[in-house]
Amino acid sequence: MENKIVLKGHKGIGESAEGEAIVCQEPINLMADTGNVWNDPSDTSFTNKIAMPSVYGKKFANKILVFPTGKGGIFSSNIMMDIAAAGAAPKAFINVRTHPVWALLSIVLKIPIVDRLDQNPCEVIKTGDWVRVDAEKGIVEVTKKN
Amino acid sequence: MELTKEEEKILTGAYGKAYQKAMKVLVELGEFYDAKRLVPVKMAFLTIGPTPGNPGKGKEWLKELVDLGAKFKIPSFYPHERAENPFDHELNEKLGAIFAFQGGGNARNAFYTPVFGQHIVGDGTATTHYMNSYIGARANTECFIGQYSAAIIGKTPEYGFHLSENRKGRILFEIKTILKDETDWSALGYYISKKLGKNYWDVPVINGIKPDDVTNDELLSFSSSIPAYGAVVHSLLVGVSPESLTLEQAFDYKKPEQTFIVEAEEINEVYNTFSPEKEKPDMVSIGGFGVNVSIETVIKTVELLENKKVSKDFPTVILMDGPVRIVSDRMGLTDALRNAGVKIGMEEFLKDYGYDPSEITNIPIMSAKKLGFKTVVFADAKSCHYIGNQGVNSVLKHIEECIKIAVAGRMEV
Repeated sequence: MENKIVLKGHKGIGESAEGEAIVCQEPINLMADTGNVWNDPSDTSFTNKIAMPSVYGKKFANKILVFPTGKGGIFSSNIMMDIAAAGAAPKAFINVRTHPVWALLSIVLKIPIVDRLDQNPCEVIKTGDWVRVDAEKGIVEVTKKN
Repeated sequence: MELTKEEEKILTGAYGKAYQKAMKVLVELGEFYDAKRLVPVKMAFLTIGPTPGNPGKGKEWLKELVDLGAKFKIPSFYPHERAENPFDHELNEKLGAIFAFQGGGNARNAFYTPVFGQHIVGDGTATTHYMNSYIGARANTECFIGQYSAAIIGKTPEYGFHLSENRKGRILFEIKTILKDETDWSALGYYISKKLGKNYWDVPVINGIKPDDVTNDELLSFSSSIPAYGAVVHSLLVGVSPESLTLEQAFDYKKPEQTFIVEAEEINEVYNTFSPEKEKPDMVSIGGFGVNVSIETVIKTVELLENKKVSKDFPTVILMDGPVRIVSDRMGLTDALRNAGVKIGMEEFLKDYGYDPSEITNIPIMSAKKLGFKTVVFADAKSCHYIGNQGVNSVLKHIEECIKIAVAGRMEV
């Protein structure tokens, strides 16, 4: 199996970033899914066991966060703005299809985001893979961990 | 995206930095979603919401716009409860906000409603869903960044649910069971939301409900929970939604991509997801996050508590706001609830239990862990879902059972 996979999608928001992937299979709403953000944004993790089984207990700080889309609740952007100020935001986002709230938070925080890729990123990318996101070109390069 | 000459001028800064900043957001958003143009919006419902920082980076972003001299172009409503915060009040007042009842994403309190076909800015997900689905107005769900940018420019990019082609039904939900109250409707919303969890753009069609089988309060309850687990902010209720008077019209005379049959079992599945692990709860909460109760529920709660008092072992709280609170006060219902031992809002509970309000927020889905809560009973699925972030065992019960538990001080596990 080839070590490198390239996914092509729609032109994204922001510029480019690279890092280790954390792949989440559920849609994300920071209000409902990351309860400890209220105590310490720098230590944000997924705390909702029922809603977030694939990433329960995990953190996304300085990683490339791969998830299908955003979901209900419009407060993900102001929460992420405080997480970013605490130095714990992801380096980039990769979606199947981006929810408007996440497009808007990417615009303001200048965190690259890409979607509408030619393969499902939540299936192709695994947690721990090294990922490079070029949002201007809409390209994702995945270097498989194994 | 094509801009008019006037819009180009705003983008290049001819009207000042505030309008340029707001326009840049709209243009970047529109280009990402392949919008062809900006469309005028008739009104904006606004929410910033709670934020981990104080005042939070989001509010600082907004303050910058205010300091640069921005003003709203269209009637823009900010929830009066949130305007009690002096920082929020000052910012929104300078922008020209109307401090209406519209609060916490609850369309029950909409002070000013759009008409069919109008483009609007839709506040939280519940309001957006209600306005899209039952009024036939057109809105996407956006956070404060998109909301304020659109309210300042008076326009929004034409994408998502602003476009007719995206408003047609995609997935069919055939209802083959009786939904008896607001709690059942919230359970249905959660069920559909979970089925469609990964896609904002799917439009579910709900068939099998006659207009006589549903109340507006039930639609409001449904609107609060359908975007909770997933992202649905537009659905079509056949025979009720103005864009789906018939099943055929709902699907634009095409076939559904997928069909789900909803029987009693599917609704029970939601109640089972939120079932108790221990018999003594730490709180019973009528209303919760973004689902403040209807006047019918207040009346029902008072009736259920006639000649009874709630247990003193844990707080029983009822969350009311806007016109419901005013009517409840006026009818003596608030006093009747207090006499039965019910706390009116989290603030009353925190005060009575000696908590410092500057240390503990009055929103249970943010404070349950700090309060040491392990089990909380709600009458709606949205609150049950959200409080999962606090590692709390949330329990979904009909209002009659909630009151039974509150009075008995325990429940069957």
